[in-house]
Amino acid sequence: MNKHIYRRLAATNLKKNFKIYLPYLLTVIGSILFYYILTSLGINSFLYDINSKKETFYGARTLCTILKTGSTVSYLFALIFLFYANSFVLKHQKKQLGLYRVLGMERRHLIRIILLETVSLFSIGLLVALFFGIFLDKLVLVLLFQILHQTAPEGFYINTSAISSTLLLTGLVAGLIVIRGVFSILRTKDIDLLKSEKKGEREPKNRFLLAIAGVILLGIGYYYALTSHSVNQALTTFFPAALCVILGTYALFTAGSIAILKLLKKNKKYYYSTRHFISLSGMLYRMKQNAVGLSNICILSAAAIVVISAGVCLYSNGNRSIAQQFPRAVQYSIANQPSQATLEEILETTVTNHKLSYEDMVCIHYGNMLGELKGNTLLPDIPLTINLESFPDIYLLTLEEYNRFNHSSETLGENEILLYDSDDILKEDTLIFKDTTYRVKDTANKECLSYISNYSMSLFPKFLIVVPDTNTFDSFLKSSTGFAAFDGGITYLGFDMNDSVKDVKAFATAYSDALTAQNIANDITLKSDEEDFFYATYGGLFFVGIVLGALFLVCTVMIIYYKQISEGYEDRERFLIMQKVGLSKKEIKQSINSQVMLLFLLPLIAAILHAAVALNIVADALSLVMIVHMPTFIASVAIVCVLFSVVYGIVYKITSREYYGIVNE
Amino acid sequence: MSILEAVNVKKIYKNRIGSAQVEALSNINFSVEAGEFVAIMGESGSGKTTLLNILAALDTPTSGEIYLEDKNFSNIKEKERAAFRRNNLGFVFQDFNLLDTFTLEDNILLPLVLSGTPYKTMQEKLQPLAASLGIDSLLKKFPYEVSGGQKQRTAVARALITNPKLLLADEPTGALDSKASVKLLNQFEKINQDGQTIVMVTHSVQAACHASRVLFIKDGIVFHQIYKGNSTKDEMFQKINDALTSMLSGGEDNE
Repeated sequence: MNKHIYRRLAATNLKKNFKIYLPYLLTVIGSILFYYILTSLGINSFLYDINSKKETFYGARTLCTILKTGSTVSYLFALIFLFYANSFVLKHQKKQLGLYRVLGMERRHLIRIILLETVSLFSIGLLVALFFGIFLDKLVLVLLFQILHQTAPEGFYINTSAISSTLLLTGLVAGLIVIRGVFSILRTKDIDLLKSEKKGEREPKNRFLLAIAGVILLGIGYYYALTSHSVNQALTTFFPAALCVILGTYALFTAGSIAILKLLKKNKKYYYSTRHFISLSGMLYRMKQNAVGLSNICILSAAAIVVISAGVCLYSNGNRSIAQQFPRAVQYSIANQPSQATLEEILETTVTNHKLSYEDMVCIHYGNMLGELKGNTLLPDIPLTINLESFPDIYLLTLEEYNRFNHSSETLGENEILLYDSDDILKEDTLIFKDTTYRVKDTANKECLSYISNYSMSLFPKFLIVVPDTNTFDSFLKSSTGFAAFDGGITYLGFDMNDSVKDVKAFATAYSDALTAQNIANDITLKSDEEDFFYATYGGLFFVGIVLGALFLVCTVMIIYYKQISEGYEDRERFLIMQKVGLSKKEIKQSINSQVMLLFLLPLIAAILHAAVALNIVADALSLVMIVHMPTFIASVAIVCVLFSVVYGIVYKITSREYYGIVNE
Repeated sequence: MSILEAVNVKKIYKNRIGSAQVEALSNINFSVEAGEFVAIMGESGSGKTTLLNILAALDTPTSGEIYLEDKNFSNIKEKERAAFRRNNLGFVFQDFNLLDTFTLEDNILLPLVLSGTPYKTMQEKLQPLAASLGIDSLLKKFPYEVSGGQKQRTAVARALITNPKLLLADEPTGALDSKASVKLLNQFEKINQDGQTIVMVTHSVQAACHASRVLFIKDGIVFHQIYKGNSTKDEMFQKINDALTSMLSGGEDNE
């Protein structure tokens, strides 16, 4: 046979089925583009030079890791969606190929056509995506630097390693899709090739067990999400909860919807009424064909909403969170128990030397230890396996220091303590430590924790114990193992400065050196450094969240489009018949509208419900890295939900028009 | 009393540019009496289906009028047309036009549901009708589960359940085997004997000889007609065949 014929057949196929192939092509372009951009940022010498191992700013290396992880995630999603989109295209393709088969082509010829089609589609997609990718590269980099609060570098660049990795992985996807197409053609009989578009006429079976399982799974998922009350719990239950909700959604959309519709149908009075008759049986079939697609839309939308709003919250909450984690611009952890007077004296000298000034100085002497709580007994040893929930991060304060800090005049008798217990893990009002029983007199004011608590220990529950005197303080600390350096306790010293970052840095180092000269060991934390790090890490997460959210959105749009189109072709015949039987065009349009609206709203409402329920557990999980300000988080979820609904609505309007066009053809 | 009357019906199809015109019906005049079973015959392209579509109010004539019990079709607004069709006309199509997503029962009940009949009344109408058509044991089945003849009888039941003034059938035996065709046509005769007026378009002589009158259409006009009168089916078959032969040879004679 003439060699060119395959090329021509593949080309006509692509051209003729524009409506089917265009969104597929756009999905191909979109997923390659997203992958390329994330990869190109992830391996970018403007951020982190692999050869010289030099970071452009503090945290840039972490940022690159986040971006690379993001690009892997986007790749996996793109793979799933391209396969999904391909299944629509394949269904359509099969009919055409069945015709060629009848006209006398062999299977190997069909395979060649599939191969050519896929290769040309992906080549076009790749070229377009890389073209835009290379142009957008710099723009996105500038945007990223903006998000990170950094000044963008100058100069144009072409990222060859990102391009080659994109080429490789696109080839891989195209290969997998060809293999899938070939398998599907080899497996189908000729007659089914011709008919493959006309399937699924049987009324769906009622699967009550699956529906009930769906309710139970969703219930479990929601229960986990709503009852989470600590970082720890959130992190351990988040994935099981998400899995339950995902499986529950699939089960409810597939079996639950049909169970409900069948139940309604059994009610003769309800079913045999003008308003419900056509819609009800129409819905039954639509749900049978679309349940999986709708659950995909629902889960994707929920994921997009959660990911984007978590990103927005992380980012917009950044300043507040940093201010809470680092209450002062310059902070020191000082060992060797110098007196506060000594510290201030040295500070004054340094200040005078630098001709600068400081303000709002806070100085607290405290002890820090870990221990295991068994019942109401606190064991100072660190066991081999740590159960986070019974393993508090303990901060000790003498009553004198506590009263000085809080300007209070609490009193404690012997063996009496004040206690703040962040996760309420101590169930009794006595605490036994080293054979001594301490009575918890009252709850301690936790305010000083915001200065002295170590944020990297946020997974652990926190204890603030106020002890009556220095002896008790020492006896607690001396018996704890593993933290010998802190034996005598630590002094926190923090103050604010109103000078430039550079001056503050120089001053902070000078003071640290002055302390070291007096044999006072110390450790500086600068808020400005932490800000850089925060924005690099969470700005990066925010960025990746937005890109992935956009990818989810693109995929959702694609699924909606294909759903509408394929339904349009199937519904056309039915509406012609109804017209002949005596339904006016208006009645038909009303009936379509109500069904289509319901199908449109169902996944959106379910997605928003999922996102709303997830608020609590996601906020808990986020508090691992930041202090979540709940109103900000709720507001960002709400705003994202609204924006998402608007975009969803617009897409829906556009695809609906396409649908009506097909039905009324 | 004439139940249906076509007066000077003309239908011209224009292509989009409007330059080429095809005259499907040039001047059709006939009337159908209540209780008649009329078959309309003609070759492919003679305008049979166009005429039926116009009689069914699915299409409008370019000029001329159709009266159903003295009510002029062309005066009915587009909005009311669907309801008019539902209440006055019943249809049987060549390709059944049953909805795959409904059971046979629901397919039959569809017109009643659309006009808001209470469920009890529906069942009262359905049972005797289904029994008389021999599909009462199949009501819970879906169209893909039954034979062509059973599908067509379902379509007949759907057409009759509203007690229409007129039953219109478009090649009802076109997709059926000969055995099923005969069964269906006998059913039509029986319905007709019970008083139902039927107008059937067909090109099957076998089908047409069940009718009480046969109209022949050629070149867009009613060319000829045969009354069955007291003749037997075989005589009728012969008469129709003769008429068709003379039509084909272009003969002018009117018997």
